[in-house]
Amino acid sequence: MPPTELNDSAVFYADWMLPLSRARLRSGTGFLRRGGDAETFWGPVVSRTGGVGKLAPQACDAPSLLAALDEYWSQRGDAGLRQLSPGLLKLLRAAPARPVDAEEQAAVAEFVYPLF
Amino acid sequence: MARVLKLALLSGRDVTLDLPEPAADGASFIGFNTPHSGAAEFWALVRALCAAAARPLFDIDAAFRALGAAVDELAPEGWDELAQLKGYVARAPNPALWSLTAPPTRRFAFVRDPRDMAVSAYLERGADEAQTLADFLSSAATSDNLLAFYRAMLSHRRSRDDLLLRYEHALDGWREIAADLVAFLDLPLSPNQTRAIADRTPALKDAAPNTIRREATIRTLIDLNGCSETVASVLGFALDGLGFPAHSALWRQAGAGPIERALRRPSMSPVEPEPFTPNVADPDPVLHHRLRANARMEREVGGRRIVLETDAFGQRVTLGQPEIGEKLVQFYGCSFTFGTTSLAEETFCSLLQAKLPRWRIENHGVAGYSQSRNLIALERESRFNPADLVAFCWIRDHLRRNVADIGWVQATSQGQAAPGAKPKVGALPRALLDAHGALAMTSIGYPRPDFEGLDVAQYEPSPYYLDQVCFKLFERADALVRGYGGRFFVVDLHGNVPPLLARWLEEAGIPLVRTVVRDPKYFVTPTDLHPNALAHQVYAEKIYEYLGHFA
Repeated sequence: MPPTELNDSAVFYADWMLPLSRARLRSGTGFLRRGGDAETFWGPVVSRTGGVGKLAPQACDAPSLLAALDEYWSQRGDAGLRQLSPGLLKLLRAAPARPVDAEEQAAVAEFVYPLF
Repeated sequence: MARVLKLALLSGRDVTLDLPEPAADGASFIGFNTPHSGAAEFWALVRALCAAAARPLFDIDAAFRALGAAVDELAPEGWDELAQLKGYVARAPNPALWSLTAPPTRRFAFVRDPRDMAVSAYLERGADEAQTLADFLSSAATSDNLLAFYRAMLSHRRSRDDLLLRYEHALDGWREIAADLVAFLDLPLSPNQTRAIADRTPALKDAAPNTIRREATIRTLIDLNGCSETVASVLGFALDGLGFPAHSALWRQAGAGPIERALRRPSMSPVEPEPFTPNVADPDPVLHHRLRANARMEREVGGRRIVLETDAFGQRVTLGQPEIGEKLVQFYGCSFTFGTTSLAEETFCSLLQAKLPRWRIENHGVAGYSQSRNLIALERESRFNPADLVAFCWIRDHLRRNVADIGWVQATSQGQAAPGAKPKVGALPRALLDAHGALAMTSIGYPRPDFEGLDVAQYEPSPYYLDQVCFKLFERADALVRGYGGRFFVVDLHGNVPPLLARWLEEAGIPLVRTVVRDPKYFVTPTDLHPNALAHQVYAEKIYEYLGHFA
């Protein structure tokens, strides 16, 4: 089967994300506790971003965002997630560039509000 | 001008051999045939071809016999002199002389499936010997004879300087063999001349071994395979064969490992493929399928219900497994390791876990996998969960699965979709060797039910190539595990690892834990060679013995 027929994102999920998620499950590492009932789900307040990240307007694109994420994972000492960075960047480069629809850019969907 | 050769015998006396005039070009060839292999007919063909082409033929054994002597009486220097004869097509009297010969002398051998040789030898033994076939096969004499051919044939160079001709190819006539000989010996004969000589050569008529092998009990057939498989492997005959003519559909069935063989058994209708455990598997873009986490299915095996369950990590449940162990041991393999026909408490992984309660034993077996997919699964797993000890569990089917052999694809593609439905074709890894002999991985579309009915026997891959690919996969896994400080080893669960492959593993320092059980009492049913609970116990005991080195 030609490599062009393989689904890059599915391969990335199977090769990297699934093993990582299972490793985190094994070590009890998780972002959200989704286990059974507990006396309290309250935890100390932490910043999930390490502070507000900033991107310069001229570098406000996906590769820069990935680089910022990589830096953030590095600061947190999360070697597992950092291993995803090269693959994510590769996926990004392989993704076909989609021209932004001017109308789409102008209008903000009203359904954005119910999300909050 | 004719030549005279004076050779010393061990007794101290000399013999003088009259040789025909050597060929003007000095080209030298030496031929040898395995015993009970139609020698009279084969050499009649060689003689006729050489005579028609005016190429001198020298039958060493016949020359000695004419003088009332035997080649075995020769002194060592005489052997060397015979091995260096130039300008003849010589007939070697034994495999030892054949293997002594060095380039530029080119060698050809007419060989037969050693299992048939053994049965022929049994049939031709003295009438006064009241010996059963089973006794004959287990006798020291049979074993010594086969070992002698094995040693000689190990020197077979598999190059253009060596030609291996097969008895089985002559069963339907000599034309194919004659054409190969004319090309190899560079005889100036036209195709018409060659065909005429081939057609005049007496046909082989030794069908008795096949009859016997068809009528033999499974026990005897297993003994027959056991005593001759080292020779069979080095000569490139299919191992585990149960007595079918070469290159027939039945032969492919016999030449396959236990799973493919079961699929090709004509009496099994409808064909039931090796279950890919659909209810516990998800599609995978690289591996075709992988186990789903927390899944469960039931199936009936040998009259009892088997529950197949996976844990949160998508592995077969291993009972008594601690969350974290002093050591982590991972077993990769196929349905034999997964335990497709066994209860969770019967798998060798669960049994090992009971013996090593402070370690964590993980079962990474997935039905249908082989080393090619095990390697990819290991690469994934070792990124975030590297084990102290990693084992690849091997069965003979894996040799062809690794390279996604067309015969294996054909046999396993049937029945993977409901009748009339179009199966979903996914990617299946295919291991191969690149232009530099290094391991490479590509993929094919699978399953291919459209292959049904095609005669794929002529695309049979070389056993030597299959061994090489398999070794490269082991080697890569070993390097990966050693790379992070772990230990890698191989376990054979069914069908002995071919001698060449075993030798390469030994040379590479990769331990091979032999657990093979041959007796039908270890099969889950008489027609399904998957291991039963008893076989899993043997596996566990032998692996435990090995793991004791690390305790």
